[in-house]
Amino acid sequence: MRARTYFAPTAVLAIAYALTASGALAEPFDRSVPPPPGPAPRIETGTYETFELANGLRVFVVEDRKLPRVTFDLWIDRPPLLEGDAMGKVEIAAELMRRGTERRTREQLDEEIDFIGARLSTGANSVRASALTKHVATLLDLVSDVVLRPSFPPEELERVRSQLSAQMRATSQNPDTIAANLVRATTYGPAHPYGEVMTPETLANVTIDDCRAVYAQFFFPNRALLAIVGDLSVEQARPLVEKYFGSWERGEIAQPSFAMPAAPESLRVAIAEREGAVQTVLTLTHPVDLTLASEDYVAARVANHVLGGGGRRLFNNLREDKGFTYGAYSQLSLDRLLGSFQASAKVRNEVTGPAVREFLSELRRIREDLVSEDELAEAKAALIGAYARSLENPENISAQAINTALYGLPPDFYKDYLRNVEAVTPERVREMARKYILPDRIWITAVGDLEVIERALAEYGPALRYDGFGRPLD
Amino acid sequence: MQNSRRVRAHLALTLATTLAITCGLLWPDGARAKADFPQIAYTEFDLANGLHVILHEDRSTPVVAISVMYHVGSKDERPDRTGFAHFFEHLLFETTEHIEDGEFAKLIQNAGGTYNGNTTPDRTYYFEVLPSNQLELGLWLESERMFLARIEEDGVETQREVVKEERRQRVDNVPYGELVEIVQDRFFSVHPYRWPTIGSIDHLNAATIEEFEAFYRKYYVPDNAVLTIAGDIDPAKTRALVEKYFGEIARGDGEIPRPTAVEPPRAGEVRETIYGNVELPAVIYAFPAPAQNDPDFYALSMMVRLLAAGDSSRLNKIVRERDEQALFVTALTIPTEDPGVAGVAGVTALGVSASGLESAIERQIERIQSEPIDARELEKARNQVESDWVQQSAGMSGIASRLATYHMLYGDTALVNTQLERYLAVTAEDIQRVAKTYFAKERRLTIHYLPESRWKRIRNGALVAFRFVRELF
Repeated sequence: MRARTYFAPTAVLAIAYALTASGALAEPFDRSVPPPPGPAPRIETGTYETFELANGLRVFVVEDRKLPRVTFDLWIDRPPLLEGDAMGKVEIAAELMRRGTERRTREQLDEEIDFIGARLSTGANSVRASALTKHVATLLDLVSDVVLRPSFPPEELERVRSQLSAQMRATSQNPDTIAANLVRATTYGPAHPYGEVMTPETLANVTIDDCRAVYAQFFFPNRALLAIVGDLSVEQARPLVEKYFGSWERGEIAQPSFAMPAAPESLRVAIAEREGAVQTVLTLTHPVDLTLASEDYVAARVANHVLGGGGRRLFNNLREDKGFTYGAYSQLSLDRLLGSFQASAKVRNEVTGPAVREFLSELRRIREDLVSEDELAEAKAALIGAYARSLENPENISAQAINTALYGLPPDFYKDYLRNVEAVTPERVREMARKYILPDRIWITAVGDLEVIERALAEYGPALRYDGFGRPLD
Repeated sequence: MQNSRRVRAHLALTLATTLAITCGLLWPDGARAKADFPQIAYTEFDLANGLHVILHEDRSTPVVAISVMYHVGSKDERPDRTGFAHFFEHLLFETTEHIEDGEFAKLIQNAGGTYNGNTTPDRTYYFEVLPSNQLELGLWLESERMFLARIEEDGVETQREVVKEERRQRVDNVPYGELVEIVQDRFFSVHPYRWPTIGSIDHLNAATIEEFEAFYRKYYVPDNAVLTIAGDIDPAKTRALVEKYFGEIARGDGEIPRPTAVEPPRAGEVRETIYGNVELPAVIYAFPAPAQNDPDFYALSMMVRLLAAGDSSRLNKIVRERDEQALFVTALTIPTEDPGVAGVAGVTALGVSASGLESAIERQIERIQSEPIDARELEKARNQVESDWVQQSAGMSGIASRLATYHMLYGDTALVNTQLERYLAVTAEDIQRVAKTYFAKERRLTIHYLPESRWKRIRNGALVAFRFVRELF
């Protein structure tokens, strides 16, 4: 039926145009006010099918026939790992999975993936692949080879090691890299897996056995979720998944626990140098004891959006009003364990001090004053619109399914999401801000010219100095 | 067995669709039938004032993308007023006759929409994606922008600061960030592609309000624009709305002159060594490239794929992985309206010199010029093109942008469905021919970008400190 539904409208259109174009003269209208919206369209949450293999692999299928392509996303539901002296081993293990299996060398994998015009990448918790529908069987053969039979060739470890050390050198003067490391180290601290940063020393320590052990510890079907999105029905998907993943064997994953990182007792300053910097990269950050499954999640998200969403308070103040920066935003990033609050901007050296003052004043304002009904309504409209737009991409529908399973969300979380956004009140926004945005217990991190920064931030107390890898220098 | 039957039925149907669409097309020798790619249906028309309009209906999600592309980019600027085109992309989110300062973006966001703009040497592009019941809002906003923008000192002042920060963030504060500008500056001698799109802050400082207004009156006119609307729309109603909001806008004052400068061919290779605040050396080859609409452009794009698309491509497989000469290496063509530049660039692996990497890259270019190209390798490049082609057909905002681009910069909207064939028609001989002509050694610019020495870094530090003091007093 594709042919007909796709092309019939064109013919109808042509006739419709012929009719309207003839006599249509624009009526006079009042240009001075924005036109009102039409009736609100229904936002339908996308649907998906799901099934489970005997080995526990949970599969989610979002059928979308618009384009002849299919995407596979495999997620491993695993706890974080403290990597310590061998920090980097999880990332390297993932890279090595893509660099050799019991059946194929790296060169063969590269050649076969490229030959069908596919993409196949491996990450610490995920494997992602896509191709045109006609290549799906070939692609799945490659994916299952990578997931079930990685061979961890020692020579590939050496190759990856030398590439990573070159990359560390190449990005060592990149202010964004330095800032990301500094933010990890301060927000979570070195005792939490989220606070660890790979350094040349830890990279040198990683062994091939470490990588094998990471794989052996985590890659089990009963701890995996597979999302299939695109030009494939659940009936087509099931036998393919059986064939390529049915022999994958179950296993158990230990659940270590980590102490929740605490926000600092008072406002602290952490700085790192970027030689010859013309901008200071500013991030105000603290950990947040909040997870996606929390009852506060939706309201806290609305509060954050009022403060630091696109075109909201931070953006308007620091960019549109002051011209300090190309953009200022805040974000609340959460997962199943914990989260963090961050407000950030890149500002020119000379306004480093004033920019921090504006950040702190905005963070305090949202905790003190009630947001106006209008401003809140605008923020909600933006979030609801963003949600509606996200449905255009079918991969977001599978992401919803995966999130629900992975983060233990209530089953109707996404169905209720819009209603829950609508229900947030100004009082609730302030309550969330007071609970999760802590301007008096925050790290002010700054990367740039040290002399500039130290002078600009002197009023907030002595600055702790870090190197480019988030290691304290003093 | 129901499943496989369904698959076959599906394939048969899509194949039939394909045949219906491509019926009458003759396939060049050696090319194969196209896969079952859905076509992007659209309608287009002109208003009396010359505004070209393209509509694409897709009701699957209640969103609509509205975009206007203006045929003005950095190549249309005066050499002493560079950065104007990009600056307008900032200015025109400020104030209009009926929209107060700062409200433009807010109106979109408060309607649940998103927006952005971008500028290239050839054109400026604005778009918003809105819930489909806000179509009229989007049309009103774009008509205000085209018709009733007010250029005021306040907005100019703020946006000048914002653009300075954009420049610092993208160019000055990023390792290798200045390389694109360096290549433009050294590669072009007469064509206006020689200056960066973001332009010169000095020029923006020197510009008067009258100059900005004149630029607006000249380029922001309906007969220099294309309006594209893609998504959940009723095309007949949409057409009436377009008439309502854009019909009253007057045409521009006349023909817009386009740059005519033609870059003279280089007499021989030009080499330069430049120092920057980086840790690893980089090597850049810049070669002349045909305009994006030239048949040779397709062949050159396929050649560049053989060199650098995917981990199994020649540069990645041999230079990066096998010989470990590069941390990163790439080859690219940049589609431009006038003849432009193609390039190969790489960052060295640890312990490798710029010259070492250069000769490794050069060997691969020589191979493609002299050794026959394997049929399977060409087949691989074609499969990659097909796959990328399908991937970029997703999403209303991407479709709107492609429709506008094909109309304005290629003069043929239908390419949105047919351009793939041009890539697939490229033969091994074509690739070898363009490798020899365009990637000839005597036509290239070679840059070695090296870590600056310690003393130089200290001198730079002193300069920054001096600038800081100067701005304080």
